[in-house]
Parts: sequence; structure tokens; C-alpha cells
Amino acid sequence: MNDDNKIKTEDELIADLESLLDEAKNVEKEVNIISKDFNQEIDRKETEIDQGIKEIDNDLTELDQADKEAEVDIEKLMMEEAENITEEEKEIEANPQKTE
Amino acid sequence: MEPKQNTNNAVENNISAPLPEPERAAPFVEKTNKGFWSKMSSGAKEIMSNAYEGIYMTPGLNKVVGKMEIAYNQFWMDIKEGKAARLKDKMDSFGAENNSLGKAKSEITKAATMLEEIGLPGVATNLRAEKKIETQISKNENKMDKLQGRIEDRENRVKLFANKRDAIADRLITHYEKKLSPIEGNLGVLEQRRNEIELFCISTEVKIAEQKARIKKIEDARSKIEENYLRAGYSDRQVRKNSAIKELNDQINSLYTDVQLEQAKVAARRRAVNKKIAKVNRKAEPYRNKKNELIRVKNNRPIDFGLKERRYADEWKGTEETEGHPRKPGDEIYGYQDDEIEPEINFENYENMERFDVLTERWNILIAQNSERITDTEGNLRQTSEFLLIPPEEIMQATWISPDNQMTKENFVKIVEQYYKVKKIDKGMYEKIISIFIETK
Repeated sequence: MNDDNKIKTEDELIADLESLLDEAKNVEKEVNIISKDFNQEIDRKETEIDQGIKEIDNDLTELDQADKEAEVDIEKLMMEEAENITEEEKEIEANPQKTE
Repeated sequence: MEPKQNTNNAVENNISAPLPEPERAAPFVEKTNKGFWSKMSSGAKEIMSNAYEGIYMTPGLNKVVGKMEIAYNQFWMDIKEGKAARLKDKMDSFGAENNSLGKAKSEITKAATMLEEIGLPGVATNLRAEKKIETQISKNENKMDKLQGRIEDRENRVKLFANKRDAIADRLITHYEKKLSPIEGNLGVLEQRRNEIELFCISTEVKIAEQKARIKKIEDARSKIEENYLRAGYSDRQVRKNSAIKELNDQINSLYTDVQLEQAKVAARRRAVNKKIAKVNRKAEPYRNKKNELIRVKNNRPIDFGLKERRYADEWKGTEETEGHPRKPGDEIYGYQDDEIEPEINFENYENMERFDVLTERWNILIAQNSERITDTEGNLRQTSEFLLIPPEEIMQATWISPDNQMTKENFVKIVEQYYKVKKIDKGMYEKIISIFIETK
């Protein structure tokens, strides 16, 4: 209001109220647009994120598998080595002069 | 798909049902190797159980690294090298004996020569003694040869074990190198997406703040209309019952609810994205560490096989959880009404808010005025303005903010800071300009 002291007529007040209602409706429209834009863009970016996470998950699964294989192999190697050591010891016990 | 690192269950099983001494390692043996284990001699099982000693009571053990550490432990070398050392001692004692025999032989030869020169008997006896010594030396040399062969055989077996072990470790490390590279790339992309989403969240919050300012302005205008009605002689009750005012109040309440819901939605989506990215970072972290651990285990070796030490320098910097960005509501809004009676409400500007395009232009002017010379990563002299000037169409595209959207300078700075973060521009380059921008009217 330009002049707060001026007493407005009924018609002027109604016009002001209608103007405010229109403005409120504009705000409502604007909030809806903001909401729609936000959903649309975040959905799109989140899809990209989900795809990236999926690829990382797949790579980590492959690393898990490689871990598992290496674990089995290294253990088997140690078991074979333990068996070799035992056999050598048995051999020495059975034939002590062999070292001389 | 979480890494299976915990052997607690196995430990518990082991405690609840004590196993005979050689079988102590049984609960820790891989399922695939159980068949081999069952066929092993008790001596070999005892050796394995001793080797696995450290695993028994270690909770949350990283199994592959743990077992690799055991394979790289001096334990295996000690067994082989201990025996080789004993054989070497034996070999050395034969060598020492041969030295003594050689000296004795030399003395006998001298004596025999002297006897021959002075024409005394006994030369033949000496020659026989010499021959005996030569035979003994020869026998000892044969034994030494055999011992050396056995030592070499042991050394070769140690080397063979070490080579097989290295091949397994190398294969795993190579696999990690191959796989971690795209994982690092993807984590980098995710961080970039997270920054872009954060920019969009901030921009949306700023746009919501603008709408809140508009609602506030409508509320203020409504209060003035109510005052007018009262001054015109209407009672409180009459004003409250006024259908247009009632409708407007309902509309304002509804708008505030909408705005709050939108703010909550932005915060929730931001949290969800941050949570997802933090989760995948947490998940990848042990694998990134594991590669370094494997390399360290492999490098910690008693025998130098001349293998190069590898390095893996880049370390993950954890995702920072973003916080909410509360904003002060603006006070005034603007608008217009093309009606029969021209309303006197001014919707042109909101208090403390300016148009986005105006703020961007003013920011760019400050950037140009305060541009400094810097040396870039390649050693070239550059101007900071080359990095900091904001192309209006680019920032509008990234934020979906229109030139006529209004915001406070503080909110504009929030957008700019996040925009630069997306562009990977160091804060030190523009921090000073923020202060000047905020202080300038």
C-alpha cells in the first residue's frame, strides 16, 4: 500500500484481495513447478548414481571371487609344503646317514 | 556381497568342541581344501596347525591377507633353512677335515723327499700314507658334493615354494590393480554426481526461499487490508468472516504447508543420496586397503627375489555428509494485477533479495576486478578470473534457476560455492571475493 493512512473503498479492498489471491495462486503454481523440476532432475541423477553403484558392486563381487580363489590356492600350497616337510623328516628319520 | 572376513564362528566352533592337537587348523581350512586336508598326514597337519596359530584368536580377520601373511611368514623358511644350515655345518666340517688332511699330506711328502735325499729307507711307507690321505680327502669331497647337492635341493625347494606363493599373490594384486582402477573411476564419478545433486538441492532450496518470501509479502498485504477494513468501521468478526479474506488465509496456510513439504523432500532426497554414496564408499574401502596390505605382505620377505615394490598412493577421502541449509524467509514479495481497479500492492522486489542475473553479473565484475596471477599445475601463468568467471547460461543450466529468480546475497554465495565445488575450483582462489561481495551494497 502506498498510503497506509488512506481509507480505501470497499471496491479497492476487494481488488487488493483478488490481487493477493491471484498472487497466492501464482506462488502455488511456482511451488508445483519447483517440485516437479526437482523430482525430475534428482530422479535422473540418482539413476546415474544407482548405475555407478551397481558397476562398483559388480567389480567388488569379482574381487571377492578372486580373494576366495587366492585364499584356496595359497592354503593348498601351504598344505602341500607341510606335507613335503613331513616327508623329508620321515626320510631323514628312516635313513639318518643320508646326511653324511 | 559384503567381504567375508570374520572367522568368529569358526573360532566359536573351535572353542565349543576342542579338537585334537594336529586338527587345530581344521576349522580354518577352506571348504575346497577339506578333501586334501583329510588326506594329510598328522605331521603335516601339525605343521599347518602351528602355522595357523595366529588365526585362532583373531576376530574379524581379513582371511586372504591373513593366510597370505602366514604363507609369507619366516616359519616356512625356518624349517627349510634350519635343515640347510645343519647340512652346511656338516659340509664345513668335512672341508675343515680336508684342510687338516692336506696339511698332513704335505708334511708326509716333505719327510719322504728328505728321506730320499739322504738315502734312508721309509719312502714307500710314506707314499702309502700319502695315498691313504688322498683317498680320505677324495671321500670327503664326494660327501661334500652330495651335501652341497642336498643344500641346493633345499634352497631350490624354498625358492619353488616362494615362487608359487608369489605367483598367487601377484595374480591377486594384478586382479586388484585391474579392478580397483574402474572402481576408483566410478567412485570419482559418484562424488561428482553428489556435488551436482547438492548444487541442485541448494538451488531448489533458494527457489523455495523465494516463494516463502512471496507468501510473507502476501500475508503482510493481507494484514494491511484487514486494518483498512477495521478503519472503515468493520468489526473484527466481520473482517474474519469476509469470504475473500477467509479464502486467502486458507490459501496462505496451504502454501506454507506445501513449502514445508518441499523443503522436507529436498532434505530427504539429499540424505538418501549421501547415504547411498557413503555406503558404497564404506564397502569399497576394505578392498582399497587390502591391495596395499597384500603388497606389504609380499614385500615383507626374508629372501630378496628382486621384485619391485609397488605403490598405490591415492587414498580415499571419505564422503562428507552435507548438512541442511536453513534459510531466513524474505520479507516482501511483488506482483501485479491488471484489473479494473489498479491494486496498490507492489510485487516488484522482496526485501534483501535481488535477481539472479543481477547478482551473477555483479559477482563476475568483482572476479574481474580482483583477478590475480597464479601458476597452474603445468607451471603456466594464469589469471584467477579464467577459472572463476561464471558463464550465466552455464550456471542456469546447472541450477535450473531463471535470471529473474530472486535471492539474498548469502544464498547466491551458497550456490556459487557449490558450483565451484562441482568445477573442482579451490576455495582459496575465491574466498576473499565472497567477503567483498557480501559487504558491497
